[in-house]
Amino acid sequence: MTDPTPQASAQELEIQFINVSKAFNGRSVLSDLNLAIPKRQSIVILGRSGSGKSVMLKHITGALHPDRGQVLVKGRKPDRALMESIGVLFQQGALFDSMKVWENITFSLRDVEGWNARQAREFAIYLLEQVDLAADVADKYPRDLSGGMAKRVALARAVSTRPEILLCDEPTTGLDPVSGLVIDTLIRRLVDQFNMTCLTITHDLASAQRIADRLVLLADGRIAWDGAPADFATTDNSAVVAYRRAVSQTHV
Amino acid sequence: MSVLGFVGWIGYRSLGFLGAIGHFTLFMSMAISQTLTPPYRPRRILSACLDLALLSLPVVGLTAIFSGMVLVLQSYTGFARISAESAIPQVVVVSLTRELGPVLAGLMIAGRVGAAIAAELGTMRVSDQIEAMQAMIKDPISYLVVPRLIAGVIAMPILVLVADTIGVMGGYMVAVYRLGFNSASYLNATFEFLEFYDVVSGLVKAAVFGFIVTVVGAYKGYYASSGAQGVGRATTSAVVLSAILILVSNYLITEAFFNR
Repeated sequence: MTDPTPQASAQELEIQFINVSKAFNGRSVLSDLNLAIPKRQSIVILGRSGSGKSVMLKHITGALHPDRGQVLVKGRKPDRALMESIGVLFQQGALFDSMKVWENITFSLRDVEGWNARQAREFAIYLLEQVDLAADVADKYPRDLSGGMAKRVALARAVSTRPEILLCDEPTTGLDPVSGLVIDTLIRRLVDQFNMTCLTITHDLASAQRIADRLVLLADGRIAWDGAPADFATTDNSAVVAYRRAVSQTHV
Repeated sequence: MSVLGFVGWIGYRSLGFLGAIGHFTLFMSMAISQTLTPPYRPRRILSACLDLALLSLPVVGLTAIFSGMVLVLQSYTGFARISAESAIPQVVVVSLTRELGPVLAGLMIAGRVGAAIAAELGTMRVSDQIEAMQAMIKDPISYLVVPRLIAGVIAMPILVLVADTIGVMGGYMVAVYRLGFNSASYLNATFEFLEFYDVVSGLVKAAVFGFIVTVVGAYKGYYASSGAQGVGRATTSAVVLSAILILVSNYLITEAFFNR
């Protein structure tokens, strides 16, 4: 197992899982998990369904709290104020059905910035351009968008507050391979452009390879492997070998 | 099942019931607390008011007019036996303003608006929209529940006032054009007998029913789970629970107003 960030000091760490354990109805989901994510790193957590990936994400947003251990984001426990520096790309996009695209994108900004509708719409169009969408998309409703377009709008919304941390929950799920490739490319581009720390959870190995600076394989609530994306295909770590075999058999 | 097992089952169910009441009370308290805290989002409140009052008017109006018409017919056949037909206008107006107007409107609104609120919030829950709102540091209760709650308390009495009027007019039409009552005498008897207190008690009931329908619909939707099936369950139970609470609270409010 390799650790690409052994020299990272506490000040440079954006997210830390320290001996975190979490169980639901007596079933252990995270077990004594340790993970340190430095600033501006794009890390991808791989794992099968039920391996605890989503539970990790919910600990970072503060939606869940560990039974034991602690999760630190920017050196402190996740709270409401901290969420201002976190953007989330949800698995299904989670766009608000009743709002137009521009209203979705600027939803969390209008009260804060004191913008009127015209100013908010202009900013939304700027962000739509960042995700390679045309300005006329701004006035559409989510129901009028394809899956790939909706995911791109959701990505624009996730970065609308210029967050320091971007969390992506299964970004390519439900998308065709071409749309998946587009989303991965956009995530990578925006992470670099806005200097964000990015944590992505996925079971899509090809997607992970495109987004990640660092790959982590989660199995049975523990880190089974942690290393550089290039090493994932060649390592003889038993968990990785099993995962690669499962992926090749299911064509995930 | 052994006796001990049966007692255990009763205990388990009772604790579950108490837990559900506690959970609902907590949600209601949060909603009320948010209602008293700015921002008030007037546009969302207005939109919810229009949805509740204006768009529900056809169905509530139909219910009211036919209730008024049937009430006159039924009263007539009964009162004719004791030669008390002249009391029909009074019976109709009091029944409608105190009871039938608010209760029937409440039940119709539970089916139309309460179900819609539960379905909308339930869909938002299962598609992560509520979670997304929380991630954006927007309080979903303040944004999604409070405007509907305020609209329920404001718009429902207005709707019931209109329904009362429509119901009385329905009764008037049957009485005058079908049963041959004198038009002026019927209207005079209606308004002379009607007291301010009758109308107010009906409107207080309407406000309470508006609160019940919106808060129950929001609660069931907000905590919906398990995909489409969960949303369907939330919608059904929102209507059933609202109807039960409307009927129970109707009795309690009537006791409070008229048991003196």
